Amino acid sequence: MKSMLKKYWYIGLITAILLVFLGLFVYNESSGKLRGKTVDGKEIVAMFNNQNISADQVYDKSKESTGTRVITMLLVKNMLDQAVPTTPEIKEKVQKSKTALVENYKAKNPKGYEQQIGDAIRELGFTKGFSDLEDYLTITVKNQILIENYIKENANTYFEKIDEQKGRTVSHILVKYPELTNEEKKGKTKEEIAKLQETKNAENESKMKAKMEEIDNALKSSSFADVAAKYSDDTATKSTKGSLGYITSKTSFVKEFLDAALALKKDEVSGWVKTTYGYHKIKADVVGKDELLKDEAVKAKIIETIIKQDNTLYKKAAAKAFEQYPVETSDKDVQKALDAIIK
Amino acid sequence: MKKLITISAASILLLAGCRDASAQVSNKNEVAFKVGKNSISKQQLADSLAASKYPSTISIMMESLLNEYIPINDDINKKVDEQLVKQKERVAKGTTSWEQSLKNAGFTSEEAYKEQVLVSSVRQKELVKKYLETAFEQGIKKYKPVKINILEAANEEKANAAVSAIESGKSFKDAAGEFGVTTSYSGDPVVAYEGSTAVLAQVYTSALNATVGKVVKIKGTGTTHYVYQVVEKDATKFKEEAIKALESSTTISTEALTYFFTEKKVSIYDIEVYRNFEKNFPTAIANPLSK
Repeated sequence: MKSMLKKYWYIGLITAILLVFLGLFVYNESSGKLRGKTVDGKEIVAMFNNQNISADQVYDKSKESTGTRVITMLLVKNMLDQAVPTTPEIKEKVQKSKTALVENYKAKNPKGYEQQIGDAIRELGFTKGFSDLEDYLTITVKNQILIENYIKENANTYFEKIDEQKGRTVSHILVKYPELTNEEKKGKTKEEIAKLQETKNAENESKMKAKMEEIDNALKSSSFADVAAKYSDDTATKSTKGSLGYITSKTSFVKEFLDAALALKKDEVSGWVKTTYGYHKIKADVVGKDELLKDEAVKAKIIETIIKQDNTLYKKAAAKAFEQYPVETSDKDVQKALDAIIK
Repeated sequence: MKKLITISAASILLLAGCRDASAQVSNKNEVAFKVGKNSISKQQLADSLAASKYPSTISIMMESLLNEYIPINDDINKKVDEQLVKQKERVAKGTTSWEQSLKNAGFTSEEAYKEQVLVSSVRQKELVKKYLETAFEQGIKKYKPVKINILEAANEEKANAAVSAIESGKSFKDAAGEFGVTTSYSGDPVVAYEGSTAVLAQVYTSALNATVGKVVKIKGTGTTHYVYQVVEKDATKFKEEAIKALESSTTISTEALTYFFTEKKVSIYDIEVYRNFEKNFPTAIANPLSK
């Protein structure tokens, strides 16, 4: 032993120095650190009034109070992962949503937008905050797809309403009444403004009639779309060549316009229809369920309209998906969250 | 080789012990629930609930405090019912029905709302009141409450007329009715204190140095003028009203909780909860970090 020590004394010295350094490092690192506590195998979060509050108690409290939102998110996320697998199209939609959302928040709060978004989604259980934004948006995009798929799977129930509600896509050309300027409206009552508008409309009637004649003549040799792009006073539809998209008897348009638009047959063009906005020439572009559903863009618009009109759709779609991917649990808080999603 | 592995493992354990503690749920690998083929463990659910860890811990402490100091009795139930009536009256002024507003807030019934929100909020207010009764002397030294009559006049002319009328014997309330903007002050006495919004800060500062009973006029913003009269400066003479005014302050609520938490000794063994607690109640931690 002695001879060994004599021969390898330097190894012992190095080991001793390393141990001293390790000891000093551990001491330095652990000073100022919070010590944990365990009682009967349970980790303790705090002691208050001589009573231990365990991590299990805090977990149960969190679940029953603010936890419903978080449990709901986890249930939905795990269901969607299986019911709506992630595709490149979904990823692209998520990126677009992210860009739009971030730009929106950034414009209002350039310095703190990441924190603001992060805090909002952290409440829903996305613990990493802002860096979890894509996960959060993936759920919203997939939820939308889940509803769309549900409508397509139950096409007979949902699309049959298209004919019932006289669904169609329409275009229009507007010859607009002149607008009163702020200066003209200044200091006047509602009644006085209405009267002034009437006078101005009457003064412009002949000018408007002349424009309507010009449009009628143009329609003899050009398509409705081209004439709309050239002559319509409706700035919102000028770029879509007059197209107003998909409408039904439930669309909230002024009555005179809606009545005239719903009375048209496919490709039929109305006479001049007078409304509070001015004079409209309306054309029915596509009429009837079968024709409408052939166009994917129109179909998407129809689905959007159905979703807007039926707020029970998400519950129905989720209930069906959870039938396919059932939840197994003995936790009453999880069961409560599930019931709230589907019932 | 075995020795080397043992030493390395011991060193890793030692270094792991250098981290701040984070309390974990027991049986963390147990499945909390399954969705189709996906399993979510208790640990995963606990991680997702991390943002609730601190508020839930405070909530457990609060329940313990309320059970000890403010038990549910007829008096509390009466106050809860009074609150409910007030809230219903407020909602009735809007366009949403009471039932709908409960539903919008996620409550299944009025009873559930009472149980989950009102009972707790009434008891918490009572706890602050209890603190103020206990620490009244310190409270009035710090917040210096004053009881004053006050009216807001639209212009100086009206303010002067109000001063003359009060000095000639007209009651403050009548003067407020005749010369004041009654939507701001009805003419009934109000209790103002350091940091309160009951009256304009400049009125409160002036009132602190004014003589009891003297009618004072102060210029506000624009043409607005205030006329006030100190009713009482000695808060022990209007203790109940002073407590009622002070108990609604959030600063004083935090102070009350700090007092009770200090009394009941709070030791924390989870870094997330510790940091949040330290931010809100820095003086109430019984186990500060060793430096």
